[in-house]
Formats: sequence, C-alpha cells, structure tokens
Amino acid sequence: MRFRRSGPRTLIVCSTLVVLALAGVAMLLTGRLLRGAHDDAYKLMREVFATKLAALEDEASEASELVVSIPTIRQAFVARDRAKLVYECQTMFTVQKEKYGLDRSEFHEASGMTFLRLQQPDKFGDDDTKNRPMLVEAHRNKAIRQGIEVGSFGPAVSAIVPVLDNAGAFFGSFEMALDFEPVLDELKSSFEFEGAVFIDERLLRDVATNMPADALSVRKRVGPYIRLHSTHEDLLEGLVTDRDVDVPEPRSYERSADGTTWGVQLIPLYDHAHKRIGVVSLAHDFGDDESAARRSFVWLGLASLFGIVIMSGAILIVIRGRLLAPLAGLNERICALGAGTEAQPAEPLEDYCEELQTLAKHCEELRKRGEG
Amino acid sequence: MTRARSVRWLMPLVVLVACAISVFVATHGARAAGDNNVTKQVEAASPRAAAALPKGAKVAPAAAIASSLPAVATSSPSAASSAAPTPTDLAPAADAAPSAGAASKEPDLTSLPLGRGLPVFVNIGTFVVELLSFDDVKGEYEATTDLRLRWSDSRLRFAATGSTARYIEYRGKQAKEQLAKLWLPNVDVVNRAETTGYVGHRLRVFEDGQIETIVRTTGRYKIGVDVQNFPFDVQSLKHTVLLREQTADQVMLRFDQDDEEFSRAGAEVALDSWKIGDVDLDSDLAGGWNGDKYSRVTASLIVSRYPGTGMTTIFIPLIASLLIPLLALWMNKATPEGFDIEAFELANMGIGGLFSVIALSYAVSSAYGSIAGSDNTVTRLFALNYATLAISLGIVVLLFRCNFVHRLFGSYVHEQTYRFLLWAVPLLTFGTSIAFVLLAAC
Repeated sequence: MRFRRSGPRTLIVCSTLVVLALAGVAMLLTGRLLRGAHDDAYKLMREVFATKLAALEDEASEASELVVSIPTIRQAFVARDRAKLVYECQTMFTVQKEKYGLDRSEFHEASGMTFLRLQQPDKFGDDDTKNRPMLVEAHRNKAIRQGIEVGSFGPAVSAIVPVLDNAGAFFGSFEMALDFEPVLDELKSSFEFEGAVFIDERLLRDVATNMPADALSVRKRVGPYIRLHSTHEDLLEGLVTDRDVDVPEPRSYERSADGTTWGVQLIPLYDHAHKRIGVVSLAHDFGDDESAARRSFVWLGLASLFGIVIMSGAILIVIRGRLLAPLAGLNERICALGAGTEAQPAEPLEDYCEELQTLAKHCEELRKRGEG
Repeated sequence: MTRARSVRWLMPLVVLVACAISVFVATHGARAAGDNNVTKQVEAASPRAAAALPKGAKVAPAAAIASSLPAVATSSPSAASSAAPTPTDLAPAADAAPSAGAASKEPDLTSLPLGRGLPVFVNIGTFVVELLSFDDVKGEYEATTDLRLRWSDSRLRFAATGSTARYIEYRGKQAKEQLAKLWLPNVDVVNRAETTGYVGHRLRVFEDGQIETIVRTTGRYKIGVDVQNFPFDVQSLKHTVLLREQTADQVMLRFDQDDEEFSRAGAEVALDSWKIGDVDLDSDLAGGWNGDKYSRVTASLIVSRYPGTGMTTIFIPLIASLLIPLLALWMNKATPEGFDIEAFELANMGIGGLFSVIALSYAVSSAYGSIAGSDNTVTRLFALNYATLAISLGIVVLLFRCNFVHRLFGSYVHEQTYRFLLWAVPLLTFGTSIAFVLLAAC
C-alpha cells in the first residue's frame, strides 16, 4: 500500500463523508421544517373549516329564530295561510339566497309534513320525517336543532327552530338551510384553499330527490361519492380520486397537479346523527414551499461540492506538495548516493518543511562530500 | 382727420357685429348647454353608458329613454303573460313601475340597482378566445377575450311564458344600444394598453332580473414578466379588471364556481414556445382617496415556457464561453523550471474570452431585454463566466507569470497547486453552472 495514494485518499474520503453528513443533516432539518410547516397548514385547514361550519350552523339558527319571531310570519303560519307566508317571506328568501347562500327555507307542521317550501312554493304536503332525523328530533324535543343534513334538495347546514301557536303549544317548525358553496368560496378567497364537497351517492339518490339530475351525473362520481361542489373542478378531479376519497378519519397527503405540489386535506363529513355522509377536501398550493426546499437542497449540494473540492485540494497540496513530493526527491538522491552514482543537487532548503530540512541538509552534505 | 372719421363709421358697425355674434352665441350656447347637461346626467348615472354613445350624439334624458321603450317584458303584466321574450327594448319591471303609462314616473334604469341592497355583487369571468402574441421582452401580449359580467337588477324582471327561452338576448349593436339604457358596473381593464379591432357585445336579461353581459375585445395588455426561472419560467398573462368610481361598499366584483368554469382558454388557443395553462381568478381591493376601496379581479392565463427555448441562442454560447478561461489552464504544462507556455499568450486568450463574453452579453441584452435586467439563470451564468475569467487571469498572472506559489512555498507545492487547479476549477465551474440551471428548474 503506497501512502502517496492511500494517505490523501483516506483523508479525502473522510472529509467528503463529513461534508456530506453535514449537508445531509442540513437537508434533513430543512425537510423537517417543511413537513412541520405543511402539518401546520393541514391543521389550519381543519380548524378553519370546523370554525366556518360552526359559524354557519349558528348563522342558520340566528336567521331562523329571527324569522319566526316576526309576528306576521308566525301568525300566518299558525293560521295556515300559505299565500300570506309566501308574501311575507319570498323577498327575504330571494335576497338571502342570492347574498348569503341560503339554500332552502321550509315550514313544517307538527306532524313533520311540509307546509311550505320557499324555494319551491308549489311543492308541499309531503312527509319529510322518513329521511330527516334532525327534523324528527327537533319536533320530538320541541327544541332548536342544527347540523349538516341531506334533505330532498341536497346537503346543507340547517337549523330547525320550533314555532309555537298563540296558546304556547308546539305548532310546527321553521328551517333554514345554508349551502356549503359560499363557505368553500370564502375559504378560497381568504386562504387560497381549493375545496370540494363529496356526498354519499346512495344517500343523495335516496333522499335528495329534488336535486337537479345533472348534479348526480357519472362525471361527478368519485368512488362511492358525488362531487357536489368544487372551487376548481379540473384540479380537484386530479387531486382527489376514487382511491383517496373514502376516509373515516381526517387524512392529508401531497400530490402534484397543474405543475405544482398541492397539500390535500380530507375531512370526513358527519350529519346531525353522527353518520358519515361524505368528505370535504381542501387543497393548498405547497408549490412555493417545495420549490424553496428544493432550492435550498441545490444550494447545499453546491456548497458541499465546494467544501469537498477545497478540502481535497488542501489535502493534496499539503500531503503531496509539502511532504511526499520532497520526500520522494530526497529518496531519489539518497538512492543515487548509495548506488555511487551522481545525485542531483537538492532543492533550496526553504522548499522543505522543518522536519525534512535536516534530512535535505545532510543529503546535500553527503552529495558534496561524494563530489569532493 | 380721415382716420378719426373712419373710426367713427366703424364703431357702430363693430358694435352691431358684436351684438349679432353674442345673440348667436347665446342661442347656440344655450342649446349646447342643454345637450351637455343631458350628457352629464347620463354620464353621472352611468359613465359607461355615456361612453358607449358616439361622439357628438345627442342624448335624451333617462326618463325620455324609459318613456320611449315599449313595455314588452313585465312592465305590463298582461303584455308579459301574452308575449314570449323577444329581443326588443328593455323596460322596468311591473313592480318597479306600477304606472307604466306615466313615462316621467318610471324609474331610471341607469341608476344603481338597490333592490337587493348594497353592495351590488357583480360576478366576473374571463374567457380567452385567442392569444395572438406574447412579447416577454416588452412585457406585452395581444389577445381576444370575452369578459362576462353578471349581476341582478330586480327592475328588469319579467314573466316569460309561451317560450322555452328564459331570457331576452341582444347582440352586437342592439346589445350596445340596450346597455346604454341600463346600469352597468363601471369596470376598467387597467392593464390594457389599447383595444385593437372589433369590440363585440352581448346582453342577456333573464326573467328573474339577472343580467349577463359579454364583451369580446381584442387588445394589447401590459404585464410584468418574471424571468427569474428562465428558461423554466411560468408567466401570468393578466387581465386586471378594476371598478372605477363605485366603491367596494357599493359594488363588489366576485366569482363563483360558474365563473371559474367560464374562465379558461379556448381549446384552439396556442402560442409558439409556450404551453397554455388554466385561467386563475383572484380578487382584492385597490385603495383610493380617503380610505376608499375599489373591487378588483385579476384573471391570469398561466403560460409555461418550453425549456428548449433559448437553448441554441443563449445557453450553448454561454457554456461554450465558459471553456475559454479553462483552456488557458489546460493549455499549459508544468515543468521543473516553471511552465511550458508564456503567461502573456495565455493572458491573451483570457482577454479574448472576456471580449467574447462582453459581446455575447450585449447580444443577449439587446435581444432579451427582460432577461438582461433581472436576476435569472442567464445573468448568473454571465456572472459565472466573468468570475471564471477573473480566476483564470488571476492564475495566469499569479501562478504562471509571477510564480507566486513557487516563491512562497517552493516548487513541490507549486506543482501540486497547478495539478489541483487543473481539475478543481473546471469541476467547480461546471458544478456551479449546473446548480444555476437546477435552481431555475426547481
């Protein structure tokens, strides 16, 4: 084994390993930082959605209570004057629908029969209790109930408020149901989250009989669900597929689409009776974070390359230039002296390190003596 | 004397002419002022409506316009129930104008529709019909776009019966005429440099009072171009719509799923060297005087550059010019006495390389102005070229000419240093250039 090769090689390999290990640790830390930031983003998505949903339920309750507290409306309902109810409420419904995402607004009799649907005034008199556990519970307890429910017009965040007659007895209920759409739109405009709501197809086909047929088209089928609303149809089609969508617990993952990386958070959707009825997906563009991380990896790689090359240079120049090459020169001269042949004159003493200067000096003296 | 007499004769004549002129001016001025007042009234009610009128056209007051409209929609319930919606003049809804016969009492349709309170929400979407050109150097693109605006004006509700169509549609000139009679959001495409060619209009009035207008415009638009990631850059061809005069508490621009689906590039849209992507919508508020806010929506057509662009014209010459300073190192050979080739010959090579990089830099900055003026892969590679040239000249001067290392550390270190530089400088140079390209690709 020649030290000329193995010595520098060992040192170069060692220093390379150290530099690479340092770079690896730095990359690991960057990766963890990135994952931590992504986890925070997922947590934010879940919390924001939960808060918005709770706020929507409260909004529906407040609006419902406000409406039934208006004497003329209550009197018209108690008097079973459908025409007057329509007259009193229709403008309110239209404005609320347009401006605040009100999906439906219904009066129910104590028996659970629909007395008036403001979204479809000519359709009434059917029994909603078969598919509406929240309605049944509100009527049974004669108390406000709020939550997500799939009704005949599709899923919505509803609040059912009991209505009492003039004698204070339970007469029926009034319901306001807000659509998911404005929530997702708001999340998009405020947080740049792309969102979609997926609802169990079977449930929709059984219960949501008044939904437009195109809402349940095959094109919108994703696994056992139907994608009812999305802020970016094409994007979410690629981000949430059949294999991803059916989750019992919140789940997050990353996927590339549209030339960037998206963080997708799936949140199972439970109705008032705590039965899983679908999934909400929120997606946030992680492209900038990912790009920044990749750039830092490139910079780290470049810095490592510089580190390895400079360390290797230092090792080669010092080991070979200061030690091995002068030693080889002296060896050659001593061999020549030993063999009795004429040796080359030694380099100037300052070319050698202190440790070799004595050897070089004596070698030169031997050579001169031999010449003499 | 003669002059004084002529002045005496002329004075009454001048006075007479002056009187005649003042009477003429007063008469025509009053008429013109009347016309101007009407124009101002219309402008105040709807600046866009006024703008739509041809220059010099005489404008009837809003009430007169309303009175001139035949009540076809639901201005008269009997008329509405018997007539199918047909493209004709618009009239206010029956509930808005109980006495349709009394023209003077009919509401002004050019005023802000307050039926559903404030702010009035206007949905906006942009469809890119055609992309004619994109000059990333000037930061300009030319495109034909459909700008769709939708809002609700309850004064225009009507009862459509006897027909499957639930709306009245106007196109072209007819739509333009009708639009002049309605309230319109005063939108301005702020980054449009000029409108070229035909401007088409379409108007739909739905039975529930929903209004939908589409304006097809071909124009040149100014945008900012970010070439930091050149040649892997992605550009946003922006179409920024800002509401003028109507503050955010009066009128708000917004978009929903339907607008998102409308906002896209047509299947035929193509551009050389660029890949066409989606249209992204983004809304925000622009600041005004005294804390006023104005609603703004930006539709951005995302286009990605094919990375092959500029490969032959920029990257191959740049990489080739990197070899020049390295040749100065490789050409030489260390000997026990020093070096084979004289330092000045190698320095000449370096100076030649410097001139070639300057020439290339000049050529690139004249052809690609936007690239030359910002931090991007190309400018970084130029910087690397200059740095490598400086290192190479430094080596030539210090190592080859002055024997700096030899003098300081002796011949052995001198020789090892040269051997090290032979492979280290090229490796670091090409490693750095690859890193610059990778940074752009990230």
